[in-house]
Amino acid sequence: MKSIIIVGSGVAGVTLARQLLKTENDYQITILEAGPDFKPGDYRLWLDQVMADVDLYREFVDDPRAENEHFGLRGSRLFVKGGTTNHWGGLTPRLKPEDFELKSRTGFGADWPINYDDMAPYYAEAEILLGITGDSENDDPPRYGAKYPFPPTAFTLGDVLIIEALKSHDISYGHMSIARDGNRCITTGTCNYCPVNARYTALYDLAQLQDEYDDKLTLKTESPVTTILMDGKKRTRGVSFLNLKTGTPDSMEADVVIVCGGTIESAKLLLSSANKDWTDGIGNDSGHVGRHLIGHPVMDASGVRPGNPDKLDGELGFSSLISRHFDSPEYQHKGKMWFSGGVGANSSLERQILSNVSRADMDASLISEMRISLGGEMEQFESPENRVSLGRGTTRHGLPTTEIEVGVHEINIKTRQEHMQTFVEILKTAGCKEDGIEGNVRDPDGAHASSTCRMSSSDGDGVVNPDLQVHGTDNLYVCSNAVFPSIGAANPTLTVSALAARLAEHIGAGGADEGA
Amino acid sequence: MSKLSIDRRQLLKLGLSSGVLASLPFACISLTQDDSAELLQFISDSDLPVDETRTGVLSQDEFDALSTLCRYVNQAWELDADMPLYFGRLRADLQFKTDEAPSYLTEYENAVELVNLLVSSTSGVEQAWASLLFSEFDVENFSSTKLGRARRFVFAELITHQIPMSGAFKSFGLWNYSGYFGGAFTAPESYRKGAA
Repeated sequence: MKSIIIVGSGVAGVTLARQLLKTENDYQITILEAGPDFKPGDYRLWLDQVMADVDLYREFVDDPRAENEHFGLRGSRLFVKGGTTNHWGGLTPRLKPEDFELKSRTGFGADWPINYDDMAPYYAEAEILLGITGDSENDDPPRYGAKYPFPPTAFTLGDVLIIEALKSHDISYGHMSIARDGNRCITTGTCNYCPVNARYTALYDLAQLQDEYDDKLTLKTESPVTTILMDGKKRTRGVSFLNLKTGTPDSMEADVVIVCGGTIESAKLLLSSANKDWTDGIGNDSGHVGRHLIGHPVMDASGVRPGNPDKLDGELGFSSLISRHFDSPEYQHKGKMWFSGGVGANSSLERQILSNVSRADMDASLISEMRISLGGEMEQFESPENRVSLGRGTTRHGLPTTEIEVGVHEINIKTRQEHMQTFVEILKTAGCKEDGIEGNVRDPDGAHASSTCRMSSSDGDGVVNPDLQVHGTDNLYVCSNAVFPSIGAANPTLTVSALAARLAEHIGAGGADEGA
Repeated sequence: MSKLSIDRRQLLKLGLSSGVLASLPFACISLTQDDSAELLQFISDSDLPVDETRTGVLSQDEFDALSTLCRYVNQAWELDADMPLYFGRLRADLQFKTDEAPSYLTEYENAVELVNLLVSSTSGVEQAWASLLFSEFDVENFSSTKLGRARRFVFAELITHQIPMSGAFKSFGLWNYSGYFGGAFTAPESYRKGAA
């Protein structure tokens, strides 16, 4: 029997647990989660969301604090069973082959020590695990014959308006790949808390795992891990954690420790575990832990198009259209970008009734105009000062506070403006009035934060090796966005899940046994 | 007992649309000072329901009183929903809201008191609801009063429930609405106008 501690119950930890438990190996897995328990698919919670617009996750966000000017955390990540997948959008593009070669191709950032073809089979596996709808015929990036479990979502009639504009500008487009169970989804448009668990969440996945493997899997919530315990320099023997329910410190021993705490907390845990052998933090002899922090700047623009005689409205809660036209090798040196779009009608009927708008005025409002929106995410290049470090004091989740230093790369600023101008031109072509087009660019936040424990071939260039093993250790791993050397223009969750599947295979093959 | 009378001109100035007023009889709506005092009684400024741990089930009379709001909205805005069918769903969903914390039971009971009060002191259910929903009062902390809380925790939530759950949005020519169980994701023609 091999005992494994997984720190964090988000998509990385839960994918790892699932993949390990389904093997014939004898594992005893404990997942330690800093946040509290939470119920998936609870009808009362769903009713509160629908009737009262209750923010079900308000208790699970970061503490109020002074945010970094260019990298906010509050609201973007969740400390709760299932982690940030509780409120994620479910968008699951793969990285593209050139994303693994950022340094070689552009001079920025770092290359991955593995390539797209190394990842392709695990991407296919993760697409099954997350239950993704997508276009299996779209070979950019190459799928090598792998099929999505569910067919792509059809374009909406609103999408067609945008597609016509894209064609006018020779901009390519395709079907969005999203983690929604095509057989279960009942299109309520309340995806932020799905009543039937059709959108993938690690919360529901973990609840199922607990049912399937109740004798092999233990979940401890409200148990923030404070220190990784080491026996000498190379081997971990377990972790110390707080029991927030009793207010007492506790510890647990294990044969393997895997840190799946996301980009911010994973780096902080290595830093806070400094000891006589690792004086600057575990895995930090070369100073890379916490460095290289990047995320995705978000851009959006919208405009009003006169007339909506067919009362077109968007999909409810998800997009079916994506353009990865600017997510290509040609744009890599400027900062790649993907974007989506949608059409919305003025259809908040309850608000109009509560404002005592007459029926005739409501009918007129619905056909008077539509709002066309475009939104996308852009690759960010790191600036040398980008860094996560330990702050003073402790959060209400029992973790050290966070200090963030980031700068915005001047190339990113210039490219944002170019992409925004592209949005404006598309909206004008789609019939929006130019004087009503509004655009916004938001700096990155914790949602897609990456690279603070980056993967590298040598311990001088990063924190973990290509097997996600912390350099210089035998049985300590990090599995999260933190290990990405770069993030391209792709939402990270699918890649995290694929890396977790790959790591499970490595551990299953005895990868953590060296030095035992 | 002195009465505060509001005629149709005043209602228009208060923001009631001509469409809603057209559904009202020509008699003016009258609120007594006693009624107003009851409506504006301070209850709580909490963001949680009052007595949120007190659970239970609404009586049939209490449910019937609240459901007159749905009938009123259905008629005044010509929503054409099948109300008897909807009331089965509403009854079940309100029980979800009262049988576990944070329970809305006390908020619903307070709202029922106001409905009964206004129905008995005005010319009927329609006038009562017009007053309960749209009358304006120049008082501080209105949102903490009995009526202010009823508007937030009960009336607004009931209407927000009614639009998707009764299928009322369909009368506007819409095919789907947030909160409605629109149909299978893999069969878009079931929940949206046309599959491109």
